[in-house]
Amino acid sequence: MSIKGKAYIVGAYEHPARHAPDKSTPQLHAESALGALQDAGLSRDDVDGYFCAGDAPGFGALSMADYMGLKLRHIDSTETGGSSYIVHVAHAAEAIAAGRCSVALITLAGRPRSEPFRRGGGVAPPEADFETPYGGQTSNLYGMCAARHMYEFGTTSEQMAWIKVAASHHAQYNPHAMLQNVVTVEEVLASPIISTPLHRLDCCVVSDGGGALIVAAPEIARSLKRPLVGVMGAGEAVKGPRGGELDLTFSAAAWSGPPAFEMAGVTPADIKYASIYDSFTITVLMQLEDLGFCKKGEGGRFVADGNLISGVGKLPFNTDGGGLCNNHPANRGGITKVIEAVRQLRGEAHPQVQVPNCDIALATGIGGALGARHGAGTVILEREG
Amino acid sequence: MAEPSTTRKVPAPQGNPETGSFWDAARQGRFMVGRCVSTDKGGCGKAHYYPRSICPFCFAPGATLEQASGKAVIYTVSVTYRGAPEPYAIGYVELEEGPRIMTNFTGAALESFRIGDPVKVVFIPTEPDAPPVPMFAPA
Repeated sequence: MSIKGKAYIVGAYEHPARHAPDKSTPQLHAESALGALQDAGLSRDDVDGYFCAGDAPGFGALSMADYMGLKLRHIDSTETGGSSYIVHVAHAAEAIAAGRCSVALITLAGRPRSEPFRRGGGVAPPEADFETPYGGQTSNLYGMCAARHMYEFGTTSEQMAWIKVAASHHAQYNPHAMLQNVVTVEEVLASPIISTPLHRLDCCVVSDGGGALIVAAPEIARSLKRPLVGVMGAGEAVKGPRGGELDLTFSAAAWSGPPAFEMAGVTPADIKYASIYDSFTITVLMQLEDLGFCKKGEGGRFVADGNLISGVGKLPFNTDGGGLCNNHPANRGGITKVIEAVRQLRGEAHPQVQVPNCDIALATGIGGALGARHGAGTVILEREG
Repeated sequence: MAEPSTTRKVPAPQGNPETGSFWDAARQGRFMVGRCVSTDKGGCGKAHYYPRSICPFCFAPGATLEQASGKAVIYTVSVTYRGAPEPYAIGYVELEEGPRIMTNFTGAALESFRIGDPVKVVFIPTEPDAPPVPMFAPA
């Protein structure tokens, strides 16, 4: 079933907090939900579908649904890490197309700067004994991908640094961004090594905060006073070492992208703006290749020399500053990717980074660990009218 | 250049009913891989890792453990300097039997390990009474 034209993103809200020691995580979820509902011109009682992922406190969606007093006929707590919320947009559109709900709320929030990360209990995953002893952590699970990419394709640290430079050029116009200073390639390379070959400035920020989206049926979207942002196409995929068939040269975006483009009936050349999940610079580089914005192995040359800077390069990306400079709430950047794409399509991005005549945008994300198991979600969005 | 990690505390494997025999072999210094049943028995015959009872490639039941050569080539490596008490080298190696597996590198300076280098398995102690874990050192 195609979801093209079956649902619209009518509300989007990025919580302004980047450090929230005086708020609870459920509170940040609820404040984000309220912000998205106000943006849409809808009320809490209009919501009949709720989507959340592993950052939501409690058992699946149950605690947050109860906390917010939601009355629901559809719930979905699909968990693919930071890409979950992009997948949720697609699942919400599917649920709306199937008549299972008409107004879907998606929330994300967390406080990694203010409270320690708590691992879930329960049964150990099957790979634990074969990976945990080796100290796999977020930085090296991406560093290993960067090392292999450099080996296979001659990608350089200078090329990867351009991704941070481009994000910083955008973040200077975002008063909420954690890092608002423009940086140079040399400054990225001079920052300390976290896990080879990644420097500190190859990494995203750690921020408290949250965000929310409202996805609604066409008749509801047309009754509201907001620009129409339609879901044109979507894809999702998972990828892992799979018994030893590991290939770190590509991400699951190679599988989530093609069905999204096919459903939307567009190609990468039609995309005016792209939100590319930027947990690390290498994450962006690999997804650009995997989605077909350039050939495999040419990502380094594609991102160099400001090609991702709005008004300068061919493919404006992450014009809010992205996870690299603006915000990575709950260590999960998927929802902010969709939010900035909605801003661009509405013409509500900062004037210094707004893409002229932005009618088709893409948001894509990788959640989990690129160097091990990860999930990818891709959505293609269109402004109507 | 950082020196090889010898004191980093390595978490002990917990084991489970499916992987207990792998860790029993590890205690005896034998490094095992999973092997699917042969094609004449409905499987694909390929080696896999970590070991499963049902083959992850063809989903045939009845996979068994077999001793691996311990020879491998470095597929990727990253030396981690932050987020841990001391630096360490993590990577994937491609086993002679085929599978690419996560590991640490030991027995030489951390920055000396290069993609494509030949390495061999060594067992590194974890905790008293717990099995050792396989890592890789220069061949």
